[in-house]
Amino acid sequence: MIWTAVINQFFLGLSTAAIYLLVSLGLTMIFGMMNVLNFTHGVLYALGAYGAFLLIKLTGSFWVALALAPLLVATVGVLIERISIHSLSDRAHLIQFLATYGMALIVEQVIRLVAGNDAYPVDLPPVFAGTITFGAFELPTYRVFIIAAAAVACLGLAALLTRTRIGALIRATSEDPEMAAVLRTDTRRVSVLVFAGGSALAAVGGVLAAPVFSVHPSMGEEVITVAFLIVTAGGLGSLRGTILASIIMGEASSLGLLAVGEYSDVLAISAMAAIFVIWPAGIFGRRDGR
Amino acid sequence: MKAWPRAAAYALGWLLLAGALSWAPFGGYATTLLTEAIILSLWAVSYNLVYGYMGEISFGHAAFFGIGAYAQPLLTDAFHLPFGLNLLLAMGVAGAGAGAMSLIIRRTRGVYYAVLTFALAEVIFMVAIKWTDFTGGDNGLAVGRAAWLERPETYVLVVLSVVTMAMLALRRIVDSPAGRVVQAIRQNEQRARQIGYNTTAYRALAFTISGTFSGLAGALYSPLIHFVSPDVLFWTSSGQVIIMTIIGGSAAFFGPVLGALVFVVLRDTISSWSASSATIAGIALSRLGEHWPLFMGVVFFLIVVFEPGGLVGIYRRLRSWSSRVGKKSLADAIAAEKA
Repeated sequence: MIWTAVINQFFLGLSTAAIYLLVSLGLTMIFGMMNVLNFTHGVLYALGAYGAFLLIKLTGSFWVALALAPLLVATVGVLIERISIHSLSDRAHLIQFLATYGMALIVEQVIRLVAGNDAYPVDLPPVFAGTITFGAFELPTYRVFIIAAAAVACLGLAALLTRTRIGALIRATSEDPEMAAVLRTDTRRVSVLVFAGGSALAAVGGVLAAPVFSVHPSMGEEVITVAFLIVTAGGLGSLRGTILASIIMGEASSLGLLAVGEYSDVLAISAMAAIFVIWPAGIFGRRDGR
Repeated sequence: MKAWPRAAAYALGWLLLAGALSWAPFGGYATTLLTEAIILSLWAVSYNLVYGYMGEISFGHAAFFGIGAYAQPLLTDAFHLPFGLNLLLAMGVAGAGAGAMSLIIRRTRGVYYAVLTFALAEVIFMVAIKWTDFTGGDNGLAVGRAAWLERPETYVLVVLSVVTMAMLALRRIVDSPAGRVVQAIRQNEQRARQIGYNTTAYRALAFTISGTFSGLAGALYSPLIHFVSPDVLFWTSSGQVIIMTIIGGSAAFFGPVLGALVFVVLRDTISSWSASSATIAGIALSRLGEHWPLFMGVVFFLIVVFEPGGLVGIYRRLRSWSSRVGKKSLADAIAAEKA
């Protein structure tokens, strides 16, 4: 049955898209707030995965890792923001972008220095070892869990932004920081909060990816390429754009496997490039990219 | 009339440099290293056409350097042309690639420009990995050098000559009316357009020229290391040319040359630590030696944060500071004399 293969592949694509989405959501939130494309986001994802490896070693529990690693990474993220973005807030955004690039290089090498160049496998939590059967389809439980986690993160974020006071403050500050400050919003605190939250989301992506891809030092530089493409193709700062672009990217590389075989990654990136040709500032983006 | 003695001085300097480089006792290894620095200088100077002169960050220049590097052996196998002709052809292939890319990116600016160049270069990188029959895939290709070029002392002279000619051409381009328009676009694109310049065409032209000369650098590079692999096409390779350009200084034409020199020397010095047995603060120096990109990252970060003008910026600051200090002491001396 060709349709079984297509639907299975579609489902795998969704789970890949879910990991992309978790990483990209934080990146696009941070861009919406500070107008800086944060190059360290990839290493924060890697740190999340390393944190998961370490915490699972120490405590034996995947859930502890899933709860604690993002907190730790958020702290590191805030530190990085302080050094490479906030201290340069009077400079051009492209300078801040380059500063985060330098910082990403440094953090990646520190990871290599401390943990070495080897890859570490992370075991699946036993609960997720099996498969779930939906009628004719048998889906790996862990993949279903990843998709559910991304959906929860999206809905949670949407609810936070539209239904709570802090969400209103976040939207106000990213829309018009001066006006928000005049209305006595502590915009600095809101920015730090967003950066911490974005870093934590990257780490959640890293923790969830650890059992699938194993933990290795170049995982940051691999994911950052994908995440950049997704957030810019969706339109920087746009949540729905990010969601849409994640799904396009995940499905192009997954369903593409059926159509063009091993060239599916080429197809996925070409699809992203095609989006820029049609919409130079991404699907839901504003025109000015500076 | 004054230009002639100056040109003669440059020519003499060039001959001295060429003589020193081809001096065999200098040693094959150091010669190879300097050849690499010269080639990377050309790459960084061409890159700076886009970064320093046009004011955009391209994260895709590895594509053109890589196309040149691959075109060199592939064209040699296909046509068996003499080295110089082959070089021109490789440059043309890279230029065609850059021209095509400049059309695709023509409507993007700023961050989007950085990311789209990055995406397109990534497509080429992935094709190079997957198209094993053509590119050798991950294993790469061995690159031969004609018999007369085999000695490092000969090759460095050829490289130096080619790079000198390319730099002269680039200098002419930068100082030409078209080059001025590109610089005007950096300062205010809208104004340049309203004066009547077709800014999109000038931007595409600058990008294409930059990619063409990056390809030339790549075509000189793969015969130097006798090898080419997809690594040269990966985005981190684009990152390296950005690092070189910024460390050296994008505000001066030759600034990126300094950056390329610092890059090669720093990388080589630190990697050589891996043979050392000393320790710093409890960490074996040999382990730090493996992690030379860490030091490059730190230098790059510090430069971006404290002096985005790079080494050229630091030099200019020192000069203006020292001239201020000099004037002040002169003023003090005059005041003291009056009293």
